[in-house]
Amino acid sequence: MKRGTARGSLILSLFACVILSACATAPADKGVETPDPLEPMNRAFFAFNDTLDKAILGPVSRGYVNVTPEPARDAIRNFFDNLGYLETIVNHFLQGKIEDGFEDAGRVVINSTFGLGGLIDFAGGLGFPARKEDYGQTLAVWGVGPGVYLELPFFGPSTLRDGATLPASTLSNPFFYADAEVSIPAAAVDLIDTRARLESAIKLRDETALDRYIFQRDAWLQRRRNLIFDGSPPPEDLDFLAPPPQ
Amino acid sequence: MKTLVKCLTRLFSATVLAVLIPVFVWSAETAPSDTIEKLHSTLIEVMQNADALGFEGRRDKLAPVITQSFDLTTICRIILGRQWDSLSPDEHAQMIDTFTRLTIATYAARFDGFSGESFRTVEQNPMNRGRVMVRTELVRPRDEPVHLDYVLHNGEGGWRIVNVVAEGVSDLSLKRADYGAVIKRDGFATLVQRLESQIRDLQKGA
Repeated sequence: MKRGTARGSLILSLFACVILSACATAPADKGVETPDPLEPMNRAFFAFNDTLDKAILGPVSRGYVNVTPEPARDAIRNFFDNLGYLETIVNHFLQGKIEDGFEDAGRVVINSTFGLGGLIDFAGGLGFPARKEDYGQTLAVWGVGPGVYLELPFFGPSTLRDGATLPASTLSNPFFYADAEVSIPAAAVDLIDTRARLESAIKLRDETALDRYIFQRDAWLQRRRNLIFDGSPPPEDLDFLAPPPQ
Repeated sequence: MKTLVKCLTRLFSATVLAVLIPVFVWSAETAPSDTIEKLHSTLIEVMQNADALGFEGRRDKLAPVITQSFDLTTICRIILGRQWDSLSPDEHAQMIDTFTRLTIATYAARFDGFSGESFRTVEQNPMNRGRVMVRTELVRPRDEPVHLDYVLHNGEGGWRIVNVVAEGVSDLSLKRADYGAVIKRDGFATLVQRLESQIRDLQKGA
């Protein structure tokens, strides 16, 4: 009971922080600099995640790539993608994209049967490319703003809106309902494989960025916007950036 | 005498016009997608001969095409935003020079091999203030295509690139945020130093 109250007050104070800082954001800066009122906290968690990645996740994922042949890694990725696809299907329907929802439900049926339980992306070969929808994107389509930018410990970049949908995502994954002997090793393999696939992006960040926190934050937010608009976001307004050509 | 001068002046103007008109018409007729396709065909050529050329060879081959296709002065001005106005003309020149070499070195380092890739121009959309977005794809035989959108404007030197948006991530905004943070915290001199060290790293890593 006591713990519950403590947690409640922590959440309350977090919300208070968010609301206060949201008010403190000067509207004049809108569009020029990414508003990041929680930057000091975010930077601390970024440093934490980075240390964890350098010490454990990065080396483990590179070891995994070295010992696992590419076809096996592809099969592993396909298997997890197929199982996690329920979230995409549900969110297609929630966003009113009924046709996409049925098409992607068909994708899972095809891959789970002809694709040997999801190991082969059979539907992809038939011209049904994989898509990615989640609850955060649905909220965005429904008009919910992102709220403040958050760097979450262990999870990495997020926003208040997207972070709040993490429990729903977890509940949409069938592995959540499996026994711990299955779900924990499965989650570990999924995590390592996901990290391995981020290797080139992380390398690019480390080579290109002068301030890695800012680079990752802005790149992630823009990538997220691209996902929300299904790859065709309205082009950014360059006019605040440069005077019109003479 | 007067007639002779008049005649000569006319002849001279006619010659100047005869030379200038085709140049003007030619640059006016160059489409935004021509700029992109020229850049892309050079990139493919460089990728196909990556090993034979080596880093220096790729850099030398890309340099003229990159300086022609990108409006690097405008790009630098946008990236530095408000800070640009507080810099001296010498600092402007220094920034443009460093950034140009960094851009060329980045392309020379990244396009270092060929495994059947090709570029495809998808569509061309008008934007506000006469700008144009050319949407393209880098098609990869074994992976999903990479979406590359170019924003061009028609200024001095014809249609030139002012921004590249890769999978929704705008290079201009990203550099603006990243460089802006450094310049605000550590100043212009540090920014240039760090960009120079990136150029050296790209050269070493290649």
